[in-house]
Amino acid sequence: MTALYEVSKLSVDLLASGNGLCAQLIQRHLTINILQDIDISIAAGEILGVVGESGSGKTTLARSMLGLQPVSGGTMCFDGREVASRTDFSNLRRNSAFMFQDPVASLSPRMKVGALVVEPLVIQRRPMANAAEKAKELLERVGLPASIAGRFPHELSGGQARRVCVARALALNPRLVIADEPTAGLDVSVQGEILNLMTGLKKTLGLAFMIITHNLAMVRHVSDRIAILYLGRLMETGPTREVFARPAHPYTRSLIASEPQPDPRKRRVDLAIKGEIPSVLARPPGCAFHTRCTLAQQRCKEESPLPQSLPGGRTVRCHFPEQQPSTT
Amino acid sequence: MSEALVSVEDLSISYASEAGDVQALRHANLEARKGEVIGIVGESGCGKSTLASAFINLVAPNAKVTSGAIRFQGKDILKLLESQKRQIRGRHIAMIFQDPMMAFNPVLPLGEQLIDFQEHRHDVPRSEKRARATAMLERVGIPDPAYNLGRFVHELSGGMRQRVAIAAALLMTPEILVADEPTTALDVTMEAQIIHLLRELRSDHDGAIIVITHHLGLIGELCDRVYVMYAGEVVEEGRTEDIYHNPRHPYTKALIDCDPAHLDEPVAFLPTIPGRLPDLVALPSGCSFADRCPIVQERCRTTSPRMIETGPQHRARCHEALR
Amino acid sequence: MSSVASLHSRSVWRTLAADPLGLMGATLVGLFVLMALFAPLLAPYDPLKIDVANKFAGASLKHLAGTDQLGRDLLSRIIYGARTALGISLLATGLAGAIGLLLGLIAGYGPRWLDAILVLCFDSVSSLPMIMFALAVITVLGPSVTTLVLVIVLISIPGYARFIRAQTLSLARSDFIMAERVMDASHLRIILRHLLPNVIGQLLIILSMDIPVVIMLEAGLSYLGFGVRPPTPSWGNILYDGYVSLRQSPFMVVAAGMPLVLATLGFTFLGEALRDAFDPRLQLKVLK
Repeated sequence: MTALYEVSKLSVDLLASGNGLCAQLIQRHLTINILQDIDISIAAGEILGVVGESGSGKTTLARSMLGLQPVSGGTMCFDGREVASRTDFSNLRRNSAFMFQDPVASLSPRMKVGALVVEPLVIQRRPMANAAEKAKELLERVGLPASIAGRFPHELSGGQARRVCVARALALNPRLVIADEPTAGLDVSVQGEILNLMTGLKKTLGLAFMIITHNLAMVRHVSDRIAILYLGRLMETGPTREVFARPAHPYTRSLIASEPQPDPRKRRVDLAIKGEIPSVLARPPGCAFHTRCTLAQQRCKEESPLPQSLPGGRTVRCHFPEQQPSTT
Repeated sequence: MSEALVSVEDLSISYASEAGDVQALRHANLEARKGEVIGIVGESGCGKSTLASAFINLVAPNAKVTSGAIRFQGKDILKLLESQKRQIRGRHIAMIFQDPMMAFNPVLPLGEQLIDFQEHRHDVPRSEKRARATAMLERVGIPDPAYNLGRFVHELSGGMRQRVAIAAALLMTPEILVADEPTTALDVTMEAQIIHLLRELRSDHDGAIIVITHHLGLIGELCDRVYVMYAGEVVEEGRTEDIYHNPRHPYTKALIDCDPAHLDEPVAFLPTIPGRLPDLVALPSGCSFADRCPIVQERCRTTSPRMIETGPQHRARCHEALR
Repeated sequence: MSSVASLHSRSVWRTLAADPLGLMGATLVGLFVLMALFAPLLAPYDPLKIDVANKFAGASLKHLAGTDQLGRDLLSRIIYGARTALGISLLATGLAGAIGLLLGLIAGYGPRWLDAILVLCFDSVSSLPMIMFALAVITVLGPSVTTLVLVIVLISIPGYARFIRAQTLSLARSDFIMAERVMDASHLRIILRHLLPNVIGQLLIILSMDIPVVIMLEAGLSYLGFGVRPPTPSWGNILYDGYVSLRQSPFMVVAAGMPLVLATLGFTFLGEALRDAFDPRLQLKVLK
């Protein structure tokens, strides 16, 4: 399987600088490391779930993959060619789309849905015989009636606004869609519709998706592979089914064990993980997770673990990964 | 079984709007007993937020109580004078919000506010109130409570804020604690910790806890009994165990099926509930779920169903509940 | 603005109509606009025609508002004064608003260094004492309508520019602008199609609320002799003439003061009503 988008050894440092004229002139910066050594690949027609808590750097990852965030190291290849310059990223963005967490906020408030869905085509100066026809066609593709084209974003329901964003993402026939929390704020009965729409598009159009989320129950059903991010480090990657069946990293295990169970017979008795994700400003030395890890040893506090490969196309970044089939 | 601490009886609330009256809550009956955690679950538009605001007596200005009462200590709290309402709110019923930022004043240190929350204890000296605040922060798992008393709400993380909000609510020693989506804004590992904390607290808290949420996981982890709401009505009530394993209302069943956490094996296509909520201004004559119901019958479209007893402490508002 | 209008116009008019002060403001403003537009038709006399024999005449059927120290008809002068007041205030706020809008958009959306320089300029201009600055410019350039407009424009630009900059800064960080950037929309497109329509509505409200301030400023400067030059009728210099001849005819001050007060009130009420009508929170209530 060849990768559609391959990211290797990606690092992002953010500059914390003042806002005033003096600070701008003196250029005194403090660098904060946000992401380091991220290796991710997405194959055509595959859904990759990137899972992490707030502060894990998952949004920064998506932004750097689209060239919206300057990176400080690593390489990115789209369709076998390296993406580095501005034009490369422009080209990449023509072949990809980004869906924001808040669909209504990502739609220009004074424009109507019909104009919004064909906007990518207008921007790219693609020939369009009839904009209204094209809008109708795109809206139909995501299961919306053509009449919705005359509405403003704030007049849409949560589910409809999501669909409009999917329609807009499809306008340029992209090969990759990056979706940030595609089900945030949706009722469970509607959430399935959006996810089914995405998996349907994956099958019919061979579209690749990268879904950024903290909702484990959701990615479990939708994604082919997952990547677990913690404090800017990739903790574990691999095929979803295997990672859930035998999580190798203690963080993955505690994430799975934290997920509340709707079945009262399966109530969690003890707490799987304590404490909070540390601030990027006070990153712990050694393994980023050692402060909350129940298995942490002296070595974890001193030495940052390197990613290691496990059978079945998995990687884990832990000194003491679990390799036995686990019962949980 | 102890008697009800608070009971909602036949409560209906509607909102005035240009299109007509939105009947957000219709003939709701529910009760919470001492030492019990009850859950109120439903999707957006089901009336759970209206119910939550009625509990703390803060209904929106355009809301109108069209029938029913909320009985607490023998009185209908919806009919009290404003000053009495405030007293009930401060001393007997406390609330935890989805966004704990709302509960605190951003420009006062947390310690001051936690002392003010004990306002009703006139006989207790300030120093003791401070000591109680410190102890309570310790109790809810805030590290270094004495230091954190001097901090401001924006200096804390989301999880810490929710802990402090819980501490503040508990300092009022309320008989009833209403938690409105207490974990929705939190990450999954923080959510687990807050659930754990609430579960621990029920042992020292001798009142009732009412959890209002759309999240079935929270209900399953925390609640003894559940009320399932749809389109402003309570459609099913019962012990969490019975509701989850033997739902009698088709909506409850569909809601549980939709939750991805319910499915053990990964599935290619997730179940959904086709159709949409009925218009709360012009409600259909029969069952409000009829249009989306997989087992809909002729009579469902004409007569609205009553609550039918389907087992011990288990009732459902469905003509077919006993099938 | 067209989409703003189509989106809100119906409820805006409904809200306006429901607000008695707003309605009153709209009526007053409407009257003054008609007065200014049709001054030559409405004025019974030439406002400059001197008739010394008839000076300080009181109100009569012949001269409804009396005459001034040179026997000129006061009603005609006041009607023509509306022309001066409205003309100067619309021109000045319009120019200042347009320049402020442009600079604000550039500062809010452009590179940070440019923003820093522009903000420094805005701050420097607004830190000058307004009246002193006005007097200094007028002393250098000489009093004339052009100078007056120039001064008012210079003084008002920083306020508008800062307002637009603040709006633009928060909009530029919003998801929908980010979404446009992901789609590779040009900066010009982002500014014209997405930022402009979202800031212009509020700017228009602020401008309408500033018109009475400018009317007052014009009157004030003309009163001091730094604005509109004497033969041209302006409420400010009628007021000054009235002040000088207070002993002979106390009526002149009232005659010039009344339209000034009414115009100011009218624009203020209208501006406030417009603001309330466009207020997004109120808007929400109407929609629900």
